[in-house]
Amino acid sequence: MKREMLRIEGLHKRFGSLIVLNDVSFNIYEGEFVCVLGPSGCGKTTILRIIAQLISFDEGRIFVLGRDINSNEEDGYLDDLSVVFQEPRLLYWRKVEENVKLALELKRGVVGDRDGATVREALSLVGLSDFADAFPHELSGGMKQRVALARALVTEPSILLMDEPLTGLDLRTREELQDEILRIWKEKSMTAIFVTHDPLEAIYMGDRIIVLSDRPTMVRDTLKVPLNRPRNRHDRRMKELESCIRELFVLPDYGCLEPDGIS
Amino acid sequence: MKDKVLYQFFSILVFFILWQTISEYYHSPLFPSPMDTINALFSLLASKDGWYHIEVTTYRVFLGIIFGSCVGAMCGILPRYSRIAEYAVKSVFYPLFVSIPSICWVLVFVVWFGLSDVTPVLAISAAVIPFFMINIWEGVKELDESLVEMGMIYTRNKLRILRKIIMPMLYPYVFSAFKTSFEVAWKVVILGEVFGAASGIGYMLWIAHEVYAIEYVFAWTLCCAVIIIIFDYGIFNYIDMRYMRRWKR
Repeated sequence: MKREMLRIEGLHKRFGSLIVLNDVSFNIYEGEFVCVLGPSGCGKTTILRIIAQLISFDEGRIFVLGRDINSNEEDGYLDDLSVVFQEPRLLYWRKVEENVKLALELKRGVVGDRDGATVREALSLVGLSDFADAFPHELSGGMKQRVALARALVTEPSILLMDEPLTGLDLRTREELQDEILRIWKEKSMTAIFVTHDPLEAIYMGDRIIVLSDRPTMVRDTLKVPLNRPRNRHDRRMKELESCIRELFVLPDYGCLEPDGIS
Repeated sequence: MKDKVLYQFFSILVFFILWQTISEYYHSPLFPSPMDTINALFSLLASKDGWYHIEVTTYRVFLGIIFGSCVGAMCGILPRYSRIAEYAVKSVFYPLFVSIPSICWVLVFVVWFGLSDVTPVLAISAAVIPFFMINIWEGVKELDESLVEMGMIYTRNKLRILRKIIMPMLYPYVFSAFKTSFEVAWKVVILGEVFGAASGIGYMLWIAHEVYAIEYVFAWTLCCAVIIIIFDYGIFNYIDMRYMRRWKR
């Protein structure tokens, strides 16, 4: 039985009179790559921001590694996760290496000589060893997102949250980074939560897909992707699954996917 | 570049020719010529005493700016964390500090502290506080909150986020406030030293004025102008070009 990394029970969130999340529940287990899929603006990012404790929630419970995150263990809890945002959010006055080091500086207050090696290792993991001395404005969009990924990885989180990190990148860079993220996830044996609005991306990346409905957001279903890794983007079954999921967004009944495991 | 230097040289030359012409026209010890002024300036710089007064004034300028910048920066940052502080800065402190003439501060501090270092230093601080307050407040309003949010993923220690993310974002605003304050501080320190000190350039200006040694009044004035130009066009420009570029997106 795999260890439960994250459990969300009956999550409710409203902004004023607008109900954004309405009874959202799901669990994520160790080593899983779970994609949270939903239409744009449905509240996917809100779920992620709540898990990262960047915003509060109105009702429900969240457990990270069995710990209730309402129990004021903010800093201890933060050690277990890291976030890659939609935008790279790099400090423009810091070089690439310094940007990655920032995560350690913030977490520990001071960084030692040994941390230099950790930072270089993170940069080499994302293939940016040669750009350690570059400033963010000297990098392409894809490279900036790699730096953000290195910054998130350098603290060695147990859970990596990714909020549509590939949005806005061209198709080729997007596909390259998808493979890169999967390689790192496998290499680091992490648990990953990847938010996306693209069904094809979710099918290509995820072990499971949590499909959300439009606002007020509820979990419509949790689907297990029945494809072995490594996956092929041009596989006919990928396209079939994509059209099934697309139908799922508008039709409550669907035929080719079964909740939590299909043939 | 060559043209720029040539134009600058030409402008200075025109200034000195005009000055020489006017002084020759009046031909009075109350309007010394550039040569008399430069001679007086060299005699000041040749003496240990002259350098002592320059040193004292420069020290007071920096001390006053440092003290004023701390208070101004605090008033600029606090509105980020408190609505009451925002109201107090916007409606009370900024209008109050910006509208009180420096001479009023000087006169009050002379009464309170007498002839001492404290009077010019506090007068400078009071004069530069609004520059830091408004510049840093502007910077705080322009902060990229997404970077602060990114920092919160790694720590909830507000001081660490302030030091590593917020303060560096404010550097250009602090630098700009420092540059403006420096010019103002030199004007205020002279005033402060004229009325409330027993040393410094302002005090020496007062002494020269008292004994009608106008060439020394001109020499000290020229000395102040040269110091401001060296800092403003030399040192600050260098810092701006060399170090501040990375803070400009």
